[in-house]
Amino acid sequence: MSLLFALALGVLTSTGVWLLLRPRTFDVLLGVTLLAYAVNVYIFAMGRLTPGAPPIISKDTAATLLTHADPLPQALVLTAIVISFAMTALLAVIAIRSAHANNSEHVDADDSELPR
Amino acid sequence: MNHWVVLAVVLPLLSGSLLILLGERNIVWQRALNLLSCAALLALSVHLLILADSGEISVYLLGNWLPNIGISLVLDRLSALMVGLTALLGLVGALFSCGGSDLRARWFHALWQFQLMGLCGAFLTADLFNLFVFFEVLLISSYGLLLHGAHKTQLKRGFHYVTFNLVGSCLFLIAVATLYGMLGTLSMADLAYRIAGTTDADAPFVKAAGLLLLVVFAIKAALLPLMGNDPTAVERVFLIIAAQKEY
Repeated sequence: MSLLFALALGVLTSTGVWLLLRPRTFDVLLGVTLLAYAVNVYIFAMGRLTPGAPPIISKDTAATLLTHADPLPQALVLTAIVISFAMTALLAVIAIRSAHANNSEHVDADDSELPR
Repeated sequence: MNHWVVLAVVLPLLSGSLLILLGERNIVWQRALNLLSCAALLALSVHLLILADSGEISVYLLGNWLPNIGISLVLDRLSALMVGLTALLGLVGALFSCGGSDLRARWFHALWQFQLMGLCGAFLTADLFNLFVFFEVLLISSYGLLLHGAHKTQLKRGFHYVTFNLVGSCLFLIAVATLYGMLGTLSMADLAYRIAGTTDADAPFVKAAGLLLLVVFAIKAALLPLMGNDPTAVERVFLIIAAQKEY
């Protein structure tokens, strides 16, 4: 499971960075989204991967991290998702308005040719 | 517990919300409320400075949670000084904007107050993740101020600025998560205590996270990319950038 997690993280991050460096605004937007996903997954992993353990304490089991998943990173991820989602939405609005105002989808909004 | 500390965050939040409710038609009322709130924040920060001057560190526990579980605000001499500086710059900037530059931006005064809220919160917080949240509050207001009018070049530069800051925020979260994974806490006082006790195997990760934080603060303070900053974008929000440079 750790290997799968690490691979997914690596793929998300590398595709995110690659898209971020592309000259089209839409690609950059997707890149930021993927990078934000990767970061969220990374925060989640930093609470250690504990399969089958609940994050909420019940009366029957002792309240230790051996029997429970760490709830704090999950709360952090929730906040991070909301913030990155809002920022991505803002970036999308800027990209659309920039494309209309400048008649170009290029990040520098000039006439240079976009690769296919 | 001293309740004055949290007022430095709540006051700009309340007046910013009031300014939104007030609508954008009546510019005189907007200016008056903005100036009044800035002046009140300055008075409050002087009070906080006097409080902190005794050398006493007052901790405000939000929601009265235990310090290790909840988020706390800490007032010491440095944070009181920074809040004072922010309030002073905020008042002077608001006064300057009343000369007519506020008419170019919709919701200028509300955004101004929200930005002050983010700045004060960032200086007062004692929690690394909370610092991130307040950073985003001040950044999203600065995006609004930067993009007002939505001129062609503004949109272009704005896209660069927002993308750059979003990547900076991602790096911030990576550093915060690494520190949590290594040290098991995000409270700054606890972090300082636990970093001293890291083993040799953990030390490189903690160092990497610390240096990543340095990069992030350089990005947010417009220090990075070196000499690559866009002067036209900076010029338009010179006060905001100046305020951010306090970090």
